[in-house]
Amino acid sequence: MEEENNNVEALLELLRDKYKNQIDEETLEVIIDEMIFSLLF
Amino acid sequence: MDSSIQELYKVRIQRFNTAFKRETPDRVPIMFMSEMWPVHHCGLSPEDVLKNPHLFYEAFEKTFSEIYLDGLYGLGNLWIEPVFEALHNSGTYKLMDGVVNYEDKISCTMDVNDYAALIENPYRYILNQFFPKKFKILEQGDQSSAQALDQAFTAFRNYRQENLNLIEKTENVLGIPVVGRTISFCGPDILLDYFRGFEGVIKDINRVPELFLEAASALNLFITRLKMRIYNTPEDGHFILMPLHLGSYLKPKDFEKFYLPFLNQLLEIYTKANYTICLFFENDWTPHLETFGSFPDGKILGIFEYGDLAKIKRKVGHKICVIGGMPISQLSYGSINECIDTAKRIIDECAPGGGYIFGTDKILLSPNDGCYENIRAVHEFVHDYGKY
Repeated sequence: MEEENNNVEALLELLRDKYKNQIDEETLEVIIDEMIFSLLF
Repeated sequence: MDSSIQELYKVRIQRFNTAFKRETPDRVPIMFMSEMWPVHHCGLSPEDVLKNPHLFYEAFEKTFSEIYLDGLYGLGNLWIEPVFEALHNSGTYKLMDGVVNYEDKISCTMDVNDYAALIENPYRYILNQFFPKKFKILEQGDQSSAQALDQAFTAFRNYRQENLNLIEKTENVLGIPVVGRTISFCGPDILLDYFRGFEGVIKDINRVPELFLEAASALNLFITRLKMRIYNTPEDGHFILMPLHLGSYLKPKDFEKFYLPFLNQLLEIYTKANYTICLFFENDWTPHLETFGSFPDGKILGIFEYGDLAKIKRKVGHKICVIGGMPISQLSYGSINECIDTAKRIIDECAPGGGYIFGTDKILLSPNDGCYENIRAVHEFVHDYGKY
């Protein structure tokens, strides 16, 4: 990561980039949505 | 799946689905509502099980080879400890004395001044303001934040896969439906449980009522859309569990303004899309039963912790399928005969006409929440006596 002070939305974009070739797009989005929901707990 | 197990599973799903529609199935379905109880019963460690959800399977296999049931209300492991560990904060829950407990205020980090941002865009507020306050490691947005989020994602992905495997095995090998597929909340309860805490929410309703209403409305839609993306195909015999909290603490006038509209909105959205919604009425909802007439038609279920279930069914049984009745206090301290007498009375009063599912009045959490011999005897009795 070149720049610092990314917000969490930007950090999630980095995750999407990292995993887009390992996980199909639909599943990746569902996992991210589920994780966001779980982190409210 | 073995064909006899497949048939058993099919019959049980049909049994639940018929009751969900407030019709009469072949038998009164028995739903087992537990979190850590089967884990304790089998002598497993809750700490280990929370890290390795596949260990739940061992607990299910042993417990339900001994105790009859038609379905599990859920897996009992909603709080995913490894994800929170990756972010260096345990969140709103904690494992204490072998039970996962909720702790108000621990992570309700939203300030009253945050309402505007939440109302403007709940997604951005949660990600960019709420999470960095709750999880300090995300505050800097630097390499350590990125690593922590990546570790949380990996932990979540692994845990999710373990959970999917657990459901698949519980249903396909044991033939036991996991009827609760996912959990959701209505806007006012998210503000209460996770953002503002009890004291904050009560203050806000009195001091900044318009902000509370706008935020509850924004969250109501945000979470519902999120949930419908995650669980995008409604299934017969399965439901979305929605624990209800704030409503029971509000006086009737406030309930009708600050809670009921949001609950009705969610029920409208979900039932129109053909989902089954299971409302868990935590605390005593007797004062609000009259308002259930405003619920839409559809597959709506209600688990009641308190109140006379027979009276509740007479009053709202035309709107919801009623679940519960068996006091865990009696399952803990009563004799087998006393428990069976109670179960018989509940079936006699609540089963006629269908739309009823047998269960405990509260979730079995700790080993003291029900004595094994009593639970086993009661379930055997209900399975036999509950035949229509």
